[in-house]
Amino acid sequence: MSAICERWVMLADRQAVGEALARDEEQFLAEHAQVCRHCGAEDALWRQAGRLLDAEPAGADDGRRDQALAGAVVERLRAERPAGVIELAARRRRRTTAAVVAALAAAAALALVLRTRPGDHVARSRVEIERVSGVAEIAGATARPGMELAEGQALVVRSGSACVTLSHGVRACADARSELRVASALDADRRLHLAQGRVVARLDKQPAGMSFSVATRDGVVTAVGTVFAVEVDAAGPSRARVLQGVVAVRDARGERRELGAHQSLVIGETRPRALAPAEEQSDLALVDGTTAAAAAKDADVVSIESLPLDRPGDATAGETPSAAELLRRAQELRQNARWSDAAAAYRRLQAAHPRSAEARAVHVSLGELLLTRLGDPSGALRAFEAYGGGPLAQEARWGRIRALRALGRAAEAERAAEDFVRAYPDSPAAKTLKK
Amino acid sequence: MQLVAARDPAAERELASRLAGRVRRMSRTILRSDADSDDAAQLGLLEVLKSAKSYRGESSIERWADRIAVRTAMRIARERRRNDPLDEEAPEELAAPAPDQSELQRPIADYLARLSEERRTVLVMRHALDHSVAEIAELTGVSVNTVKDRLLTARRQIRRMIRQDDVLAEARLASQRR
Repeated sequence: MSAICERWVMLADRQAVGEALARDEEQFLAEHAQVCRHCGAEDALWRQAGRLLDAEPAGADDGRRDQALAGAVVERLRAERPAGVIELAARRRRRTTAAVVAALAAAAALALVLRTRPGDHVARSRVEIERVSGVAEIAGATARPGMELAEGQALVVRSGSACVTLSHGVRACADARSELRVASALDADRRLHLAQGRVVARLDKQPAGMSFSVATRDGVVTAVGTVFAVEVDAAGPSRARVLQGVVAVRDARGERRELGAHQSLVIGETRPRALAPAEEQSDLALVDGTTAAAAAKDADVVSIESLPLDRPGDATAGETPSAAELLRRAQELRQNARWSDAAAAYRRLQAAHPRSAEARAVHVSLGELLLTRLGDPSGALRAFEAYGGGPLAQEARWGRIRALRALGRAAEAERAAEDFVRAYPDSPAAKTLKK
Repeated sequence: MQLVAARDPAAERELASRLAGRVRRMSRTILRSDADSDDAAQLGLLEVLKSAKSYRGESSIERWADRIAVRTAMRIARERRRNDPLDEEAPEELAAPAPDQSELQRPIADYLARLSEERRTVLVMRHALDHSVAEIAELTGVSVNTVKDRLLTARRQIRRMIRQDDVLAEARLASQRR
């Protein structure tokens, strides 16, 4: 290996272990990799490593293996678990209408919203406002017929009602004081999330493999092209109501039973009851846009706190970047020798996510930066002392000694050094201190 | 994630589908044997679903799941070493690729497959997951110096393989020209 290549390797390794390089060193790394076949090949390989886990399935076989894995894990989870969730599976596919009613109560958190990864090329449904009678808003603007609701956006109905349409003949109408969010517009898995209020959905027979769901805090109700209604009440047990057709209801114990037209069943119980005409009329009236719904609807409306989405990169998920993102930014700044900005980024991470593993780990990084690059031994001392115990305790204690020395607190530094040597007698730093 | 934590079957399936490929690739890069990596992928994904309550939204779901998958794979690797004491860290001398596998540029996975679990794990966490050395130390419970040592040794091993591949490729090209 030539001396130039040896220098390249040394610098690349230094960078790999997190050491900051000078600008001319970074420039050399980039330029030499362009002209040297051996170093260029190595450089390309490390870049390839960075994409290792983001790779899409290599082919249909990989995709099948992934799905088989997912299926096996879900099955195993269910087998291990005794208690319950709601699962509704439609059995009958007839051309007619269906209504899905989710009337909710409860506090706090509900937001499902697991979106597919960016870059997925699958069909998506357009979710469009069909009708507004009263006052409804999308992102603070007045909702009007023809407007589109994007994934993650919510329709907030202040008064009256509002309806949206989705692909394959799905129409969902939200009652006054409802908040309905588009959790997924994937054609095969259209999903609305009801944070509060009531929604009634009517759907035509769905093509094979297509599903439409309404998610609530208590569960997900999925219609696959039959006729049924479901009511989920957070204050009590969930109920399934069938308006037309037949559904299969499976509870968490794995017990499965059928429910016929005009029947209502408390999920987990064995005996269905007859559906009250008033319930049926109320459900159908809302989705048909008639005023008959008004008399019955208030009983179902309960205020529920709306939830933020949990998707990375979603604008509604909050303004604060994740701990990992802040750490990445700090590392980039440090690698670019922007020491003050890097220190600020470390501090921002600690302030934003004080309990994260990243915030804890960066105490030592911040201390080193303040001590060796920014001439701030007081700040460094605070950072090293904040770390406490853990795998980096040796580095933190060694940093503390150097910070104390830099501050001229010789006696304290001496005591800290003696403690250090006793604790880590074989460490390189202890050998330095002994000298 | 709240619905996964609330054991909603549809949400669980959706999350499992979303993460299956990533967890499988992660397990495969850390563990060499197909059987072990399949076990690790299944256990890792299972652990991810069971741990949904612990997700605080402080990082992306993928990154959060990565950590769980890495820990699971490492645990399986440790258990395997306990049961098979001969399966220790691979000496560097064994790292050279077989000549008949040499190509101009092989995929990174081929090189990773020839490293010991510990070195491979550190390399994956550093280069694929972009963790700092300090974070890797924190997450794996070893010292910073150990992480650096494993990382540099792994890089040295892979570097040697790349250059050996290059030499063999050049020799092959030369013989073809003759």
